[in-house]
Amino acid sequence: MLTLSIIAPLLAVVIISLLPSSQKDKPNKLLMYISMAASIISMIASFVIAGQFSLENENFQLTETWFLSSLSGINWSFALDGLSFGLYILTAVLFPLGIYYSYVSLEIRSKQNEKPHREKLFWSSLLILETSVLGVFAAQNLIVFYVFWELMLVPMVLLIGIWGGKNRKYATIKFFIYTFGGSVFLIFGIIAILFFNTDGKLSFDITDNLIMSLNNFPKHIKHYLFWAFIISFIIKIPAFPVHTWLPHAHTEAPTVGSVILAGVLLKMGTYGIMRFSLPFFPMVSKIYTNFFMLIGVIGIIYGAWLAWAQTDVKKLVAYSSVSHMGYIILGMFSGNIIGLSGAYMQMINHGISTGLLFLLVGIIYDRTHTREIDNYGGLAKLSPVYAIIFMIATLSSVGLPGTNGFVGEFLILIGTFLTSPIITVFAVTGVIFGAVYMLHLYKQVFWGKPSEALLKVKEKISLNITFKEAIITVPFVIMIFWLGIKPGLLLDTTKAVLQKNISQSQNIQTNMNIGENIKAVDKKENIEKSGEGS
Amino acid sequence: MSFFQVTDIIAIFPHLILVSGALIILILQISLPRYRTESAFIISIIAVTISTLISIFGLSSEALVSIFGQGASGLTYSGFLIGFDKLSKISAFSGHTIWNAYSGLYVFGILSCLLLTLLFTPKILKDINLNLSEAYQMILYTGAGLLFFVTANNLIMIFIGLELASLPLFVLAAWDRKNKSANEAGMKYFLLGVFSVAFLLLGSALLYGASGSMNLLDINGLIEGTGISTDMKRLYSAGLILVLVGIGFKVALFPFHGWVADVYEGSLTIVTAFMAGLVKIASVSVFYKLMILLGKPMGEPIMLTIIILSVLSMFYGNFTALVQTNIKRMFAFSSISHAGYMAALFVIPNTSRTGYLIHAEASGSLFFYAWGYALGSILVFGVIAYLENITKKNNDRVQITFEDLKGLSKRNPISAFLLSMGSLSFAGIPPLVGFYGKFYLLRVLFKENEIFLALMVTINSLIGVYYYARVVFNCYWDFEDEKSEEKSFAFKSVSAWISGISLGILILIIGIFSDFIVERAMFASLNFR
Repeated sequence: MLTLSIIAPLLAVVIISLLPSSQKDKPNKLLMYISMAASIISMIASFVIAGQFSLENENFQLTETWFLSSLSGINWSFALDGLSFGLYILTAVLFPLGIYYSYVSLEIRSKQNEKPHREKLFWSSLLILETSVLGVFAAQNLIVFYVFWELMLVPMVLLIGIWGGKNRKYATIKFFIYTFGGSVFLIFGIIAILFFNTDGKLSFDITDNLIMSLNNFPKHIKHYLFWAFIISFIIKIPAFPVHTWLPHAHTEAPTVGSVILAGVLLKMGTYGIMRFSLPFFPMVSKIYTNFFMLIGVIGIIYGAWLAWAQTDVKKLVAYSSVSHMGYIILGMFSGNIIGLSGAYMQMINHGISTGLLFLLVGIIYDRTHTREIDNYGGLAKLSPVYAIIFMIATLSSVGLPGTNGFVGEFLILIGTFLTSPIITVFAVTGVIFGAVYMLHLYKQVFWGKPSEALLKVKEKISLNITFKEAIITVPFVIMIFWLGIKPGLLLDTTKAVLQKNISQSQNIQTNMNIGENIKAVDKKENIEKSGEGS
Repeated sequence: MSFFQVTDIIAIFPHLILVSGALIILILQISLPRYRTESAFIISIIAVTISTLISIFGLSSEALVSIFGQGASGLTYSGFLIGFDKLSKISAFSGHTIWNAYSGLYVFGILSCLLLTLLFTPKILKDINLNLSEAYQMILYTGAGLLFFVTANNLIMIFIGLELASLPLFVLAAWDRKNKSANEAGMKYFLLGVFSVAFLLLGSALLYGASGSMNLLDINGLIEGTGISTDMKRLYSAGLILVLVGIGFKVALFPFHGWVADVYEGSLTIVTAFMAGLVKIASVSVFYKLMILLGKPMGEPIMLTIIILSVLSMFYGNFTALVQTNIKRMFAFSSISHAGYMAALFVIPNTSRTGYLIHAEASGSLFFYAWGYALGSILVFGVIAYLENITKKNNDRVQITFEDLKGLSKRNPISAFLLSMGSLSFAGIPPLVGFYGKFYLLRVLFKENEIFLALMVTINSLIGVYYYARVVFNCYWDFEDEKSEEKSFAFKSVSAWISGISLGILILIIGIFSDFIVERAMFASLNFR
């Protein structure tokens, strides 16, 4: 089932590439049906997996193995555990929605005499992207993880580079260089694990054995490896000093690209830290905890300020992403189960709420073709249903109690407070800034008198949201409230794994401390002995 | 005692099939009254296919007996898929040529690449009205020469094999004879090739003077046994360095790279595929063999030299490729950097703690990298050759630049796809074969404590990805100034389609089965002597 859900989009790509290409004014329905079918198959398969998933099991489960290799250590097997389960389901749900939205958007644009553009390539890129993201979350082997991690670059470069906005080339090159630069360190780190391994039997499978032997490496090596891994991840997240590719990529990407980017691609970075950096290098990450918390807090506040200053709706939402990802970093490095599960919760939340925001911005952009906040105003009167859904998304993003956003932020802040109260004080201000820029945006766009630009658009095309578009947003809204009222649904899946990881790293730390104490005692005794000898 | 022994013929069986294919073409050309050039292509395909199949599946002892009679009993010619576990070895011509699993491995590599390149050829030659049957003879001679080159166990045989491979290539490089740059390329390749071979010969002579033998295994035995006497050591070192310089020309390592860009650019693109794919894989194999068999008396200095050359090749190749506008030149310079990556593995046997034995993992990774690189470059240059044919209608001679690639995915989707795939494979993007090549390479480097080289390879892959990605960007993005020509299909001949598609599939899926191939190659390397 797991393999089916990963491979189904890829099979659809083969079918699509064999179809003859046709240039028509209307979007090609057949292509949409094929891609929808593939993504829905993988969604249903993922639901079947969800039924089989055991909440108590803290290890990888539902393992499906294909190629085992003793020589290279690249075992092609897929499995899920509590860390990847929620993200996997989120991805599988998000893609059919994104694909259907793209078709609806193409339809609306074709009504305004915009021809669909290189459709076969578009659907193929989306489907390859789905396979690669699902593969990243289901990979049980470091190299398989890396293969899917890199594969993601190609469709993303095509999506932004071909169907993007005016500055798409600049944005794509920036995105490509940043991400590839990070990944090179990642592969270096992954292969370097083998070198420092002494027993010679180690494969790249993510197992407890790997974690244990990693912790027997010399101390400075662990530091190098930690940085090799984490540089790649913080670029992907993106955390504060390397976040500059994100606004460009988001703004220039087509709507579905932004939705996927915000929804799941950014989570690959945080997932990488939760999956690899923290369990692999518990001692080292403990040392750098304050540093990364600082990065997180700077991201929160700086991102919020930048978002406040934006005049472009999409850019505003993009910078809000930087701010939200700051919370996740904070929670991950808090080191206790409350903060970690809050971070995990926030990963899913951000996917839902920011994904919905980008979707909504795209829906209105299809009609108005402008993203400048100044051109909007009084949209609530012209499109009331749209305004309601946007309000829900805004409140979820701000973190109103009752929505999912509240639970995540609250857990993170509690978890962080237990570790570092001072940083929490600064982080809390982010909540206020978040409310400020989001509500400011809402006020500017929806309230007041309808702006002239909007009225002009209204003469040509109805600003009201269509039924199809409303249907797409429904699952998002359901998820927002469901997770807001019953967060246990998600938190239960990851509890066992997080507890295991935390106790494991505590064990390692105590072992290390004992070891160092013994060494210190030995040294002392040696000194005493030598003292006696002389 | 007869002049020939059956073992001699069995050891060079694939080589003989290629040569006899060429001779059959020659005879038919003179004797048949209504001779057509197509038959030359068909004969050469048959010859190459048979020998490729032999190199893949091998010949069992029963088959050998039924072909050669009782003289062949007890021998097996083991192939890549079937028989490498038998560790068979056939020594021929009193030790001048040795067929063993290691050389069999590269025989397979060369022949598979030869087959795929040959399939691209006829349409391109037709389009320049030079589809003569001599071309196919030359190609077959080149293939046979390279096979002699990799199976050689004697410095003279190395020289002969290299000459047999190079002389037809000199002709092929200038095959487009009305074209000035092709003539220039042929001349340049000829002069520098001959120059490099002179180094090889002088080196061989010095080595003979120092060790008293031309036979590689004999020299190796002498080194392992009594060792080179101290007063001969300088002579020996000079000889070895000169021989390595001679082969380094063919590998296109950094200071010996001068011919690469101009020759690759000027000669017919399909011939460039021969040079980049076949010649490189063969000469890498021989370079490595010489390093292991003869490198010991040189010790540290030669290892340091190779490390420096490797790193310089990487940086030189990458930085010069960065600024190219001509696609062929870009791939030419990038081939220098790939030579650098491969040269990083030459160092491994010398640092191995077990002495100067072959390092099976390094050798296996080297084969996989070289083979993957050869497949990629055949694909890339094959596609470029057909693109040139399409754009050539208007101008006399068209060099494909980045400008020409703009909008290619609309005009010619399949060639855009294949070109991007080859390019991304070079860049090392998974799941293509280039990534797995780099993976195995880095793995060996890490395992053998060559962190510096591993770091250099990593940094250079990062540089390289920029210009490789540019190919993809130019092919797929929309540009205002892109050419809106009519849609055209990539290849206008069936054989090129077969080759292009199978290369695409190979590059895409070999990575998943890389384990199997590298394991075979490692096993073959154990049977090195």
